[in-house]
Amino acid sequence: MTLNTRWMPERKQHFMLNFLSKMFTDLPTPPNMNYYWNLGSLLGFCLMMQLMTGMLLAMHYCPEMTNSFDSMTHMERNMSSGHMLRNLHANSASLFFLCVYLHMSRNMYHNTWKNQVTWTMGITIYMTMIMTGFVGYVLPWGQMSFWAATVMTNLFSAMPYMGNSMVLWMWGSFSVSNPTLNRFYSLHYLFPFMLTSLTMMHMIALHSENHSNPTGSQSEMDKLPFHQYFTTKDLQTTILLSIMIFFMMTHTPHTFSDPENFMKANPLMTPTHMQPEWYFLFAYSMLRSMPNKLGGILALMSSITMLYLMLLLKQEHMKSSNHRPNLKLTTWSLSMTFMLLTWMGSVPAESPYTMLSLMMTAWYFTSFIMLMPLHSNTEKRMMNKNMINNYQ
Amino acid sequence: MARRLFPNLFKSYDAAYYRWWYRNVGHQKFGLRLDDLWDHLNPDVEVAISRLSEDEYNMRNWRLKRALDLSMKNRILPLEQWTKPEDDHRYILKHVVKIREERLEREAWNKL
Repeated sequence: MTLNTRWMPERKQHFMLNFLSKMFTDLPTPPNMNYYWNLGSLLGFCLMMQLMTGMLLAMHYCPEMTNSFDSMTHMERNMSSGHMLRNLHANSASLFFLCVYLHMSRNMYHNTWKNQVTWTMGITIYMTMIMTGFVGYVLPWGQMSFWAATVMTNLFSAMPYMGNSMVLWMWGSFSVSNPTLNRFYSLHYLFPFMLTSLTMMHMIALHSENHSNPTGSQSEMDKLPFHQYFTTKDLQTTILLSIMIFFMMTHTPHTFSDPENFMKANPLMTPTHMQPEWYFLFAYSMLRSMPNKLGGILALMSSITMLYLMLLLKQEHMKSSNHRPNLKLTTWSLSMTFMLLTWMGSVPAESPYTMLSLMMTAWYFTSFIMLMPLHSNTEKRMMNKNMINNYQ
Repeated sequence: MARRLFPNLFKSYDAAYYRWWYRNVGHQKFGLRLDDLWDHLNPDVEVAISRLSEDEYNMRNWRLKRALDLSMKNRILPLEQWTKPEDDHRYILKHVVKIREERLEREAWNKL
């Protein structure tokens, strides 16, 4: 009796092994999943990397206003491989967001909002990631950390009636100070565990709903087991991503760092050019483009919460923009809009960039509110018309 | 509302738009028919697929399997094997229309 035949019945009978085998080894998978489908495993890898490096950094970090910057300096200079650990955590966060944006663009293109539970979980994961990234960026207590916290928390003061009280409640004081840093540290520890449980729910929902594939068609007639075909494929890109991370960490660790954040926070000196990390720039440019403060905040929040509205789109086509020419154009234009908004968030808020940001913001919302429902209705009409006899 | 007011205008627009849309759907190069692109999880389409004859059902599965295989290899069919418009029969649409009528009738009866 070989190891394989002895192993098989136990794998099916043990409740835990059975669950794991259904999730990872015996999972029937469409054969034509390309490298875009590897982004899910890469995101899991980035999450694990962040959890491990974060826990090690938390052992040496001091969440106290006067000591936090110095504890980061201690980690960088005195701790053995501390600079590598810190750079790994910071750069993995950037790659985490890069992978999540690529993952979301693939899902938009392939219309995976039809897997409603998976889509909802995914948007919730994205919002949790944003909150984690924001509170984490405040912890080094550099100039940009302090002023980013001040600007973003002050946005809540635009809420009518209870805005100012809410800001004071969030700060825990009359300005961004020690209580704010302490609660942000606590939240930065809590959110990743929420992220992990949301991720597991996301995967369970994905495996219970229909697995998508590049053509978007039914794939029940042709499936492969996840192991060894796609475990090997996932391993390829995981190794590639690891090489990228380690190259960045050793050669260009400060590519995504802001020079202002190498100075300790000074409440009396505002930085000349305030900007968040690159993964928040698209929302920042939307916020800046609106002349009204409350309008900017609504644009910022609705740019992300709008994704939940995709669930309302009705379509009778199979999942994928490959066979939906209108939607293909719209999703590509959305990707370009996103990249342009990211670029515009990094430039100074002056003419002609403010007008361009406003136009791109308007196009972004038009795509979601007008174009996508219009395309859904149009293509539904086309699918329901028998006009092939008239086609010439 | 505009469609009800100006039906002839929209008829010619629909025909022109349909020609552009049909050319750009891209199902021909995978050897698929237009009705192979229906969402099989749609309840009406699910019933329509169950009402197909054995031959039609097997041919549908074969076309979809071939498309999956081509997609996996990042290839398309040679030009002579592309689906021609005269071969692109709407074999599911006729069932979907009937099933929708049946469903609406059933819902109307259930309201009584």
